[in-house]
Amino acid sequence: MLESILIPIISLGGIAFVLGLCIVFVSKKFYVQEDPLLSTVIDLLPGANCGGCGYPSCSQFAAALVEKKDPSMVCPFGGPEIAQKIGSVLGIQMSETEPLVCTVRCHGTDNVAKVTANYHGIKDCWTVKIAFHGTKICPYGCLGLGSCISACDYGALSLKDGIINVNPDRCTGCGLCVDACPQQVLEMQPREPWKYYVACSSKDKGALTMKYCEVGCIGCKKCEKICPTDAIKVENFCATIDQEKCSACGLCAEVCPTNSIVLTKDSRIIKES
Amino acid sequence: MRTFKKGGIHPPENKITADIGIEILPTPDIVTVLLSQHLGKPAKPVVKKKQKVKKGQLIAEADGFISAHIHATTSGMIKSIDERVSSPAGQFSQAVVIESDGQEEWADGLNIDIDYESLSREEKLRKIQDAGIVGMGGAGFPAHVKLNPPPEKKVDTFILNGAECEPFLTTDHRLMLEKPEEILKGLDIAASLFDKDIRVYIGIEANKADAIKIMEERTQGTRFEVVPLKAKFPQGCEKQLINTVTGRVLAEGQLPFDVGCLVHNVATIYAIYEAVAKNKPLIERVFTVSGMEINSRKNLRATLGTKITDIVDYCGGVTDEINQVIVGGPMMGKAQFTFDVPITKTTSGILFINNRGLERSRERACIRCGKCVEVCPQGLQPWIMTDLARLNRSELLPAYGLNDCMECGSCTFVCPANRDIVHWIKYAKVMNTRQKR
Repeated sequence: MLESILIPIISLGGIAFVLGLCIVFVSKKFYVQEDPLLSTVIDLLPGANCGGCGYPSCSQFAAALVEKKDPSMVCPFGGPEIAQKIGSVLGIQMSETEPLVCTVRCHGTDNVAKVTANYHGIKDCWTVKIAFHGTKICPYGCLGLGSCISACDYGALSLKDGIINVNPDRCTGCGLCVDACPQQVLEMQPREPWKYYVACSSKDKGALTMKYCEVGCIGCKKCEKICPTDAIKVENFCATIDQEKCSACGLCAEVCPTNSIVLTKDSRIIKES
Repeated sequence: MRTFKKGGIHPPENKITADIGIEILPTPDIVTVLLSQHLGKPAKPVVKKKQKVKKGQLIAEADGFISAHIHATTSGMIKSIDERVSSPAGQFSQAVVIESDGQEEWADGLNIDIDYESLSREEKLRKIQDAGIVGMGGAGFPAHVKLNPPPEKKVDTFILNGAECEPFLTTDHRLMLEKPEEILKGLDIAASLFDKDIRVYIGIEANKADAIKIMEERTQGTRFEVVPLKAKFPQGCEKQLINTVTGRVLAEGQLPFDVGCLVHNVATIYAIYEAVAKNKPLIERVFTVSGMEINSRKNLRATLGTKITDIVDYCGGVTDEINQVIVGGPMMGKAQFTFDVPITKTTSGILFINNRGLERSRERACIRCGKCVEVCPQGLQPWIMTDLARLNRSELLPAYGLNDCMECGSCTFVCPANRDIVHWIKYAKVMNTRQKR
């Protein structure tokens, strides 16, 4: 009885001891010299692996940071706080970064932008784009089939009334959705303090835009005239607001006849229940 | 009966208009001539607003090597040059809008009989180029480029494509019945651009027995040979037709002249005849108006730039049950979302269809039945391509012959699980070009 217990204990214990020796030997023999900075930097990074920096993962970004020590390399999710910490670890002055948020330059929901066609088929913006110019008359607006939703890793985007909604609380500013949009209606804007932006990208003449969309920018230049800080430029019948100059006074939003100027914060937020 | 080796389907033919003669649609008061009616770059307008133009006058110049001239399709005044007009291909294009003066006055030196036999090869090619002729079967590839292959490629076989394998369409069929003499002369002109010993075949599907008979009668004792083809879709696709007639197979990425062949459609050859023998630019074409939901079905010859609205009015309007309007054939054509679309050089038919038998139920899972592999004329595996495209692994598809697929739709037609196979393949093509950017 005692034998049948002792034999396995001794034999297994012996094997374990020998293998343990092997592991010790291998770990000493093949030890990889690793930069202690690297693990510090990896710990500092958010670890979300969003890809917003252009690298596939946070650890690869950290490795590139440690190797190049380039102050212009930016973690868009981390913002200035993390950039400062990493800068002090690496002993360089990181360039200032602003946290970004995604905004949709189109507010043409189904009830305000005229719809021409019923689309049956693959729910993907790119396929619609090759088949015809979307289901709305406006060829510049959001197609509303959500190619960006599948690109977003954080669930910050959702579809409502035929256009994309952004939840700024969830948006990390990585910018993956911008590349996924065939219409280029998604734009990254600086986060807080919240400023104003033009929620339309129609480059059609005002009269034409008015015909098919109630909330389109018609290029009337009222906002350009009233802006106290000269932040607004109207080009190709569409206004754009320079976020650096914008003082968020709100005068433009008041005079806009089609209500197409809104706060970046109000970029179609859906409150989470 | 000859046919291509792999795959193919036989959808219901529905050639309702086969016995109806070609009618001439009067030119509407306003024609909208699109500047992108061909493959390649859109033409550049050379006219101004309020300018008077005559019928056949050049209004837009080819921009680049693969592009084609566009001509005024009626006489009158240029009303405007619109930047954004929907084309039947679904994209926006620049267009010249001409207000007709009702005179139909030809520009100088056009629409006259000329002695074309004495013209040299270069002169004939120039005439074809000046007339703005493109492949009228649907692709819209400029004809002068196709007829002038690089000198190191020897073309020994010329095939006239009279297959017209798409259901409903009877355009080429009617042309062969009503203008056989002109088509054979056009074929002669096209063949004279190559070596003397070139073999010329006329491929016609067996369901057009009368056309085969007429062509056989007229070609007796000439170097042209009529080849009856089995009625099977996509018999009229270039690669399949070459395979049927000569037995040669095009590898991926090869063009017909790589295997010594050249294929032209009946309508294109007719346009070439008119351009070379009559100095007539391509400003009108024959097309089929068919489908269950239009009151009178016709084969029409209409001025390019006539809108579908005008055609619907002429044909007595549509019924209430109409659900889809397709420009082109039902297999490869494109659904339209508005009647406000002008016809172009590549419009071979307009179909007005109800949704009976067309409504698609939900896409279901692939059951691995292998029907799509069986019918694929290119010998591809559409099911695996669909699966990979759905999983967002489009970059793997070129290894499965993605670029060999000409989107004929046979696989989607037979799929018992209702999968949008061709649509997914199109999606994969877009995703691949996007990734290269």
